[in-house]
Amino acid sequence: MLCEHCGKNPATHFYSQNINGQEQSLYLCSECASKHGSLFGFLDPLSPLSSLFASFPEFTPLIDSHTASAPAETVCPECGATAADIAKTGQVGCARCYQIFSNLLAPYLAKLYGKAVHTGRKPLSYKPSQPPVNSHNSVNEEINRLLRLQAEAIRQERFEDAARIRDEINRLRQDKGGNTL
Amino acid sequence: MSAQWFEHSGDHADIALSTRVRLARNIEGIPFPGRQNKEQAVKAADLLSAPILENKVTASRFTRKEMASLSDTERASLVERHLVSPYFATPAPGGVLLLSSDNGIAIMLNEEDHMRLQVLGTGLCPEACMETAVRLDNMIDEGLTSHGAKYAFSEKLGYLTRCPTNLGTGLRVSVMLHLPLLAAGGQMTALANSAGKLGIAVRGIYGEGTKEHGNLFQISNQSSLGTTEQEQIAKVREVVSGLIERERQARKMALETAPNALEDKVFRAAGLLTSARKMSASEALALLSDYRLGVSLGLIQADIAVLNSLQSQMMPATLSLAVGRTLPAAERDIFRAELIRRVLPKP
Repeated sequence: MLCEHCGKNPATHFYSQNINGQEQSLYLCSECASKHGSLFGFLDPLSPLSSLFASFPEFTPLIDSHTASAPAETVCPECGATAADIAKTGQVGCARCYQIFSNLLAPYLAKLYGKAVHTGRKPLSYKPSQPPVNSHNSVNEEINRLLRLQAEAIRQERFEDAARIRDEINRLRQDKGGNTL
Repeated sequence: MSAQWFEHSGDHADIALSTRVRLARNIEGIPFPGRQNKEQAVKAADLLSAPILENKVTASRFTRKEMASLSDTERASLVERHLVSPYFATPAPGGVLLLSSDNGIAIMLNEEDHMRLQVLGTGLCPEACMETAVRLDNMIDEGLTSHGAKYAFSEKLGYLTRCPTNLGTGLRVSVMLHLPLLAAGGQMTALANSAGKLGIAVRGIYGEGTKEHGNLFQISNQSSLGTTEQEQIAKVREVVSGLIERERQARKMALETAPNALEDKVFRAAGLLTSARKMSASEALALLSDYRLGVSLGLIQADIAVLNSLQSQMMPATLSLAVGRTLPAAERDIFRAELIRRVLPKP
């Protein structure tokens, strides 16, 4: 996963806070974290994701104290695994865990694989759950989603975010051969 | 006993002892080993073995072995022959091995994942091993579907595995290389480091974290997500070919600069191996490394395949099984020396 601020370096610092039930999180590279960490108005950063799963115990206090939805209490309905089980063993309980604990696993997977996605073989009976992203409709939907995010960012005066979203919208429009802003 | 997989010699067989391809697979809707109960483990093993055992062609080639029903010696021998992992040798609920008659295909059920499908081949042959693995994988995949089950898979993460480091293709390609000159030259650490930067791991013979024995190294891909099976295989082949080339250069240079020292080393080893009356496994491994080098350089006339089979036949548990009773260490060394004298030609 790349730093959400500069978009260049891999994210190594995870910030999270919960204000009046509103959960916010941010992934930064160490450079941006040291420069801007406090500017984002977040609490002290959690320790860098330095040693993959070794850093998971530090997610537990985060989950307990800062998150209204309290995912620490989440139990996988399929295998009974909890976040603490996964953090302790470094192993996932079942296929369903990858969905249930996707937020918890995301920084770990990002650290292992960056933004890579599977490109290899698929099971014979596998059918994609949604049409490919390059289909006309889903690109339009994605652009609409980003337009909403952009408006929200401008309203909250997060102009850097808004600019980043604009660039992404332009890229999608170019990809499908339409006009750019 | 039918012909064994290692009784052939493949590409670069004098340096590349064997190639292994492993696919990790799990079944959706059944917890992974570690979080499944006994019934679920048995169900997973049955679902995965049915496609192999219900097909007439494969059924005649495979034997189903319940790991818990094997003796300690039999399990240890499977580990020595690299057919199962040391982890799998400690019997767990539903631990089942499907083994082909030539011992070239070993499917571990309920190891770390529901299935670890392994195909072995001699020499450098990852593509051929993969072809066999894919055929079996498809067959099992179809069989699961016909039983109303399916592989655990996600579009983004690929085949879902118990340890997130195996996500994606679930593929690990590994090649076992004999690199005595590179090891003697102290180059392996540096070469392992640069291979690491390419996402390739270099390990000692018995897998992760173990010290190398007999100058044997296992070269394998580290990451299986984000690239295709073909790309992962190509990368391993590239690094392996590079190491083989360097080893050959180092041998050539040693033959040019110090032929006597090299020949002396080889023939001393051959002398001991073909004359000694007692031989420990670690001494034999070290001497076989020198003997193998002699065969590769054409100094000794012997079949590389004989060396390959000796490598596992002389190990403690496998030796005990051949003799038919558990041997104390001292007696084992006598049987080992006898076995080596019987199969290795005197130079």
